[in-house]
Amino acid sequence: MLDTIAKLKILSDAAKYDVSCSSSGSTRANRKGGLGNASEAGICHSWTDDGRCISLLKILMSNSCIYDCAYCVNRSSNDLPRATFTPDEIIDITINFYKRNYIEGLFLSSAVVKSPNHTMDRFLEIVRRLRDEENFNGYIHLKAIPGADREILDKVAVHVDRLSINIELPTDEGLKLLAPQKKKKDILLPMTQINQGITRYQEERKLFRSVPKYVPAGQTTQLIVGATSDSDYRILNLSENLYQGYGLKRVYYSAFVPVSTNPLLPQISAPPLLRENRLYQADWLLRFYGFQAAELLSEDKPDFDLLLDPKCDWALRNMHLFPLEINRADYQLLLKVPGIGVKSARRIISSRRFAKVGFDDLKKMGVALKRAKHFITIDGRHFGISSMDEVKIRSAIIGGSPMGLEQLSIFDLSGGGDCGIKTGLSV
Amino acid sequence: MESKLAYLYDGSFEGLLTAIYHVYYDKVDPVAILPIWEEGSNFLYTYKRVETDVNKWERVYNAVEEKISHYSLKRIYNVYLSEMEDSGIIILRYLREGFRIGSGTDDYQTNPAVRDLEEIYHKVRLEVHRFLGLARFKRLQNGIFYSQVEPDHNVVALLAPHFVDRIPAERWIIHDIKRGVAVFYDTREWTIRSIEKPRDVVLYEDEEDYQDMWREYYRSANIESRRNKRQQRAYMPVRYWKNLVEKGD
Ligand code: SF4
Repeated sequence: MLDTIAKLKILSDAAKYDVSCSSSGSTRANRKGGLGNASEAGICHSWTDDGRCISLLKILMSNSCIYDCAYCVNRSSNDLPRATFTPDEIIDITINFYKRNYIEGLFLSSAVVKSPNHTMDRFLEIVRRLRDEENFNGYIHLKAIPGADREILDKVAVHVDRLSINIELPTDEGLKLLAPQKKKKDILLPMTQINQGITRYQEERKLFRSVPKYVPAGQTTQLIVGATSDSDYRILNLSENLYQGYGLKRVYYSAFVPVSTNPLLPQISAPPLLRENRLYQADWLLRFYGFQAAELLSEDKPDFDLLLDPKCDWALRNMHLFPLEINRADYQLLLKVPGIGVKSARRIISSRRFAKVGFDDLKKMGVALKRAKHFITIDGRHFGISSMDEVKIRSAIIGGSPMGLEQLSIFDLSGGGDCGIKTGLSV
Repeated sequence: MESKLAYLYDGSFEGLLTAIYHVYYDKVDPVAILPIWEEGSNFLYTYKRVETDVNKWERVYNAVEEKISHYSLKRIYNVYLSEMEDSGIIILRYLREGFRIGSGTDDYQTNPAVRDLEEIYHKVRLEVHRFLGLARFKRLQNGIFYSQVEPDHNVVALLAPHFVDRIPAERWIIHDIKRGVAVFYDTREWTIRSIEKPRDVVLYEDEEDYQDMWREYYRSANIESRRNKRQQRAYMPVRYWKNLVEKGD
């Protein structure tokens, strides 16, 4: 028998590549005499040497898997030490870490032990006991196992703050190649069920206050970037569908870290972090800037320019829309200007009501004029490269600012970009 | 050369408000408002002591609430707790503007007096937020959860409400060993008292097991190929490390 600490080593090591460590988005007031509160802002308790925030105890319940996905360390054919926590152990560590203020809560996932239903049943025991017996009100994020019965999923859902189901590979072909035992529909089915559950419980809660909350912090998923040849375009299209069709709160992107030497996998020496970062920026554009995946990329232009942020990249291919007059353009259009973010666009609109906006005002409002100046006129005057030549503007933006590749790798690659850590998004 | 006037108060928030009352009453323009232990630290200054007086500080307290805002009171309290040398005079300058402008004072971000206050206020709030995550508790033999901290600013009182919410059913202490003050919570209410550094703390029998587990967890959560110490230090400054189980000795 392994002792708890040996298990912890194995089962936290295996869980760490999952990026969605954010614990925000849920407030759970403490019940009387209970333990803990899920705080809205999200609290980091420590930072590892890679600069990532530790907020949740992120572990696998088990790494003994009946499946054999090529990209995964836990695949059944891999020769590695195996371990499985008992519910008692997980409950004990969670409660004691929480009381010592090491963590905000638990992020639990697992390999598939025996069967999806068996694994989910174990999950249910853990979350039910944490909430009902231990009175634990901290944050719980659970990674549901595709292929389990809906009844179990629904029971689990009313005890946790957030549920996620990892899609991992963006396409069916990818799955076929690397995870032949998984089917896209098995993954998408529980996502649909969770989405329906959220709506159904919300309706019922309007009638009966006693109806419990069903995953109050919503559902999320994670996609692996760089394990297959899928383009940015396909990935972004999928994200768009997930936001619109499945009501997801977040899609996380995780640069593929080579953890196995399977011949089916690409031979890479370092995880594609810059690409991951570009996808986070583009994801942001989908959610807050009114962009659509098909505007940003296409079959002919399937990948982002690694040297430019996606908005600049897009703008340079759409020069016919620019320059925009800053004192006239509406909010939606302002958002499309490189260097103007949500905040500064709002500020421009509201101060325009009092007086014309000038060059210095834009600076004070936080507009990145180095980029923006090429795409706007200020009261008729244009401060950028006058020919509006896209090649020249591109090199001015890349070369003219200290935003070379080297700099980016230090400042912009916060490694995941969640956990409340800013993604280094250049607006 | 004209000598510069510095007011001295007893170090309490009430004392500071009393000093501000005197500034108004004396119709003078001091260069500093300092706690009493700073007396004599600058030989260009002429020092003037004020006695804390409830009738005086209450006038100021109420005036801030009525003429500016309750939020403004909270801000000056936080800035007072910063214990930064110029915090007293910055509060005075801010209040002068505040009494002139009224309830909209804090929106007036281009005003230098408002901005100076804002800057310190942010420093204090940042540290409070950091310690909500970085305060570490260990369980003592008598069952109490004990946390030892060394913050830059005097923030333990600002931490208390969060932990009352978080661990309501346990007795706990958050002890600022730099200042010798601590928050005590007895499962019903919290109080703040000054205490010495405990001589010998005896830990609960399984305490070290959980510390070992946490260190193990901390080590294995790191992804070596993404190593980024610079970012780690930006978020978790090295000066806080010595009281962290996973970083200290
Ligand atoms: S089912 Fe999950 S844990 Fe099991 S091999 Fe596949 S990815 Fe890994």
